[in-house]
Amino acid sequence: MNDKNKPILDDALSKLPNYEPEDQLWDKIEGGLEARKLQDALAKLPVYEPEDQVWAAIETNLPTQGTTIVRRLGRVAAIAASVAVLLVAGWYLMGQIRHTGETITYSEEVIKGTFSTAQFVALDDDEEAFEIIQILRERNDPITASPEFQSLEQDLNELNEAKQDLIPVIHDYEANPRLKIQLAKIERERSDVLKQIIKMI
Amino acid sequence: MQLFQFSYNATRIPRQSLYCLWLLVLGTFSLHAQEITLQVVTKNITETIAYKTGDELNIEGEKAEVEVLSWDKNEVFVTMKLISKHPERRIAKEELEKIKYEITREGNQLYIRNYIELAEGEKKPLSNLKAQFVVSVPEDCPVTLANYFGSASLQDLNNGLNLNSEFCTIGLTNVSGTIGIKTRFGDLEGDQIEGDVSIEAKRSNITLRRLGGKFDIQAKYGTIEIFADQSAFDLNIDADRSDVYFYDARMQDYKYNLAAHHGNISVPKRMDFNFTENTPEFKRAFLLPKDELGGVRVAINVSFGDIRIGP
Repeated sequence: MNDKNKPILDDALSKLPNYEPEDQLWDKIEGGLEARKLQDALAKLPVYEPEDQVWAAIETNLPTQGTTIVRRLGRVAAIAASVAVLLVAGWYLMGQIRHTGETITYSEEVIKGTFSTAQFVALDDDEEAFEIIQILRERNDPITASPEFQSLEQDLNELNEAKQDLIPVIHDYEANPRLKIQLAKIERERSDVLKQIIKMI
Repeated sequence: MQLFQFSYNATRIPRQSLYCLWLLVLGTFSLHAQEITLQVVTKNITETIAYKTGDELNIEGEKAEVEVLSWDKNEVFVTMKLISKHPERRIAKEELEKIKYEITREGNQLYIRNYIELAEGEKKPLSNLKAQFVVSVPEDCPVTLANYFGSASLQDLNNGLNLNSEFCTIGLTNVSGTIGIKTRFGDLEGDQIEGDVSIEAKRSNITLRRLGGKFDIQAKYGTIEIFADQSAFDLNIDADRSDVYFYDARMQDYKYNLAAHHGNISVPKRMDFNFTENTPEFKRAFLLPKDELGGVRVAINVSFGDIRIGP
């Protein structure tokens, strides 16, 4: 049976196409194998540390002055580098910030909302009354030249600015109404200043 | 019998009407005080900074409740909470990332800072964002603090303080050294303040107790109350459109120099003040104590406000 099929098999094998890899491929494989061999061999090498006397003997036999200077300079540089490292480490240790951690926690808080910030801000629908200052300025009214008017106008500007600072900060979800009370106080003061200006007209 | 009659009548009220009445009452209450359950998401941070003499602490807070107190360790210890509150936990958590913090050192300057970071044109966060710091420092650490829209409480510091705040309530207890305070729209309460102190306050009320040293107070639109408690000091108050009250159990021991432009000066009758000017526009009053304490001087100058000495 085997003898019968052998010629057929040989014939089929002889018809198979023949592929030859490029030379570089063999080189790469060889290089890889060598590198691995080298690493394995290096890892297996024993480590020997010469005794201090050996270094001392070598040192005494080194004759030239130039080399000594270079070596001394090297030692100075090494000491300087060590001192620098110590200084930097010391400075770092002196001023270090130790971050102990950052955690997120969740809880609930129930607050009693009285009225919203939007409602609170919408209360000042008399805002156009304050345009009187602008009107007096535009028509160059004599009272605008008086120091009293100018002082009141400055107060009003400061209060307007404070109001604009506060509005973005007051919040619906705030249990402490301190800033809302502050805003209410500013509004009262603005009204007082406006009334004083109107008295002057 | 009367009671029985009443209960009999009550049972005759239709049940539906009672329900309606109850709902109306509930509705009325809810209009005034609607309860909101907020989801509070908190980022907790703790850091320790090694301290050496000569270091200075700088704190800058935004919507922060800042507490600074001394301890006996040679370190600055910071406990910081960044808080976001909103009825929906998802939103509260997302927006918590908008509160940033920094704890850094530059030379001998230590910086602790929080701020709310919004991209250009980004809307105001829906959540209520705030921060809380508790900072423990060696008592000889000088502190500079700036805070906006929050509160500041400082105690047991002996090497000076520089404070600048707006819309922020300030509480100082047992603070000494060179102290400079600037406050706008924020009330200041101090107890046992000693040293070379200058205060510049605008639209802020000031209450000080048990003072020592030299005080220079400039105030505009506020009320100033001093409870001196027989402390030896040199007090100079210059107040515009503000009222000033000065109290002490031994009022007569001080050397007074008072002036009021368009305001009143009121003093206890038993104290023999010498009014050198007394017109509606301007009043001036002096008093030299019989047992004069060295250098204890109270000079108060007010415009468009009143001075009141004693209860």
